[in-house]
Amino acid sequence: MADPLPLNLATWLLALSPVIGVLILMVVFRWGASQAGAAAWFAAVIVGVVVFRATIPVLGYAQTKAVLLSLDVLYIIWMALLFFHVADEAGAVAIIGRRLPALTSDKVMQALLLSWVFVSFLQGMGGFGVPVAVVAPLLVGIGFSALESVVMASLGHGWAVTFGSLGTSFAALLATTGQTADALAPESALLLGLAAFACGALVAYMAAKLRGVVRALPALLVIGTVMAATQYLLATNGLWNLGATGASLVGLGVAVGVARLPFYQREPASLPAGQSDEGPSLPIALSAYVVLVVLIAMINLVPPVERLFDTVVLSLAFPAVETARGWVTPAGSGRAISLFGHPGAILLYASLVAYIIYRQAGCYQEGAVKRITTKVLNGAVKSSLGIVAMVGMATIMGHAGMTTLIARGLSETVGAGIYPAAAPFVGALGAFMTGSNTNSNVVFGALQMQTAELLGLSISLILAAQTTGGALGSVLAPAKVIVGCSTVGLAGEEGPVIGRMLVLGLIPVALTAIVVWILA
Amino acid sequence: MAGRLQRIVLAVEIIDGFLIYIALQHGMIGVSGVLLTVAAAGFFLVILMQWERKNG
Repeated sequence: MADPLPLNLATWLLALSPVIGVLILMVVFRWGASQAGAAAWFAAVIVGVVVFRATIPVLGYAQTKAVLLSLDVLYIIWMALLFFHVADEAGAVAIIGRRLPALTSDKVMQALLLSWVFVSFLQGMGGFGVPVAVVAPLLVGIGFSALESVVMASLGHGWAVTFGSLGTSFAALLATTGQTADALAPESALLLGLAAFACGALVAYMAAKLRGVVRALPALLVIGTVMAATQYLLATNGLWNLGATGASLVGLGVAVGVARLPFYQREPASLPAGQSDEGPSLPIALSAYVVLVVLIAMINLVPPVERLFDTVVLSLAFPAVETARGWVTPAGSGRAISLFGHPGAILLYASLVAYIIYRQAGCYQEGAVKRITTKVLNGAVKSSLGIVAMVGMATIMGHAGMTTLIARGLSETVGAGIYPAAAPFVGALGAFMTGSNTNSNVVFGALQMQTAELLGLSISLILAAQTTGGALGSVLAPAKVIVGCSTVGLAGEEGPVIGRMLVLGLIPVALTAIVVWILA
Repeated sequence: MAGRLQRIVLAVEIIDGFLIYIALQHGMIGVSGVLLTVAAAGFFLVILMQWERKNG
């Protein structure tokens, strides 16, 4: 018999307790994502069973759905890590990073090239804290302070996080909300595109204060427009996996041209002092990325090829399930995973081709395969368990009716007038706490969607606000800052870096909130 | 050691998720309950690892 739980502060807080648990464990107790996620999974199960009276079938099907959703995201993460390390081990990442600042003697333009365009390109291809770890030392090498370097490299790529890492965060948003890419991509790409300008302006400000922003204006307008437009076009035409990669790749090309303009060439440009030009040639270094772009475009845009690669699909049908309180989760199919046409599979093909190219060019030293494998395994497992646990928590909360109760509470207290402005901050908070746009989308995606439904707001706009806030908030996360600091000798001094970053990093989130509020 | 254990837990969680589905599809509620306990045990191990690392 139906016995719905009343909405009051106590039940609302109980429903929210797994999410609060994740945030407290990660921020206050400094637990990793996997451990905090595991504890939150337990909290969701206990509250789900005791308070929301979830039954074994409810929990069981929720757990299976969580595994399917996780596999969809993990497939990309594992293979993106493989692809990054195949290129990194060959010295490709280092050579691109060294060549760029040598294009111009202008400090502000150098900062933009490295910590706005190149760092976003790295985010597009890999992510997972790597962009800052690679770029911050390069910025120190051209004369910026360690603190400036970490802050610039972090803030510069916030706009590229959602469609970066081959679209992992966007895939997680689609998976947890059940929405289609066609529905969510336009507004997400629009908000992230606008954020790109703000990220670039912040980098210029860090490089030379307001004078830097003024000096950077032509570059900001040209490169920013190109990157925002490219990301929008790719994301809205079925190539969201390539959104940030393609945008920053085109941005790199345009930036090379802009950097050579007389305006940015006061003195002859040269390779930064103390840096050698050893390693693969630039075309060889870039070849892996070209291969990836071609493969993704071919498999996603050529219908016969797409059909061929989508012949084997892993999909499960789920019946309707009901809690003892009468909360019903309707029947439906879980996440369908195309084994050979999935972005993860394409990354695998690209990794293999890139490995052959780099090997033929003599870029690898002995033991490269073992080093690549070890780095991929070490990097992948840590984040994978956290994702499985947190997705499990989110699906159990959804199936037990907890997410809906939280959304009802939010919609009745905040109201449709203010909520659009709050949505990006919710996403940013989730990402700041959990260290990832993906985790934020998993934890808050369904909640934001249901709140939007209850308030009669545009679901696509609120979810775009969620993922944009999550992207911009993820670069401020202590977990990522620690990685960046460790590469420039600031280990143990993360406090001042985070403080500086929060002051500046919340500006694009606030701008996004204003835009969403206007559009709503 | 911790890395190896994490890999094992990850594999168990993934396989267990599919086994729960099979059990439920065949109406074996009790078996799926046991399999859910296995998933819980895996997550509990992950928390224990954190506890050990923090407290030696």
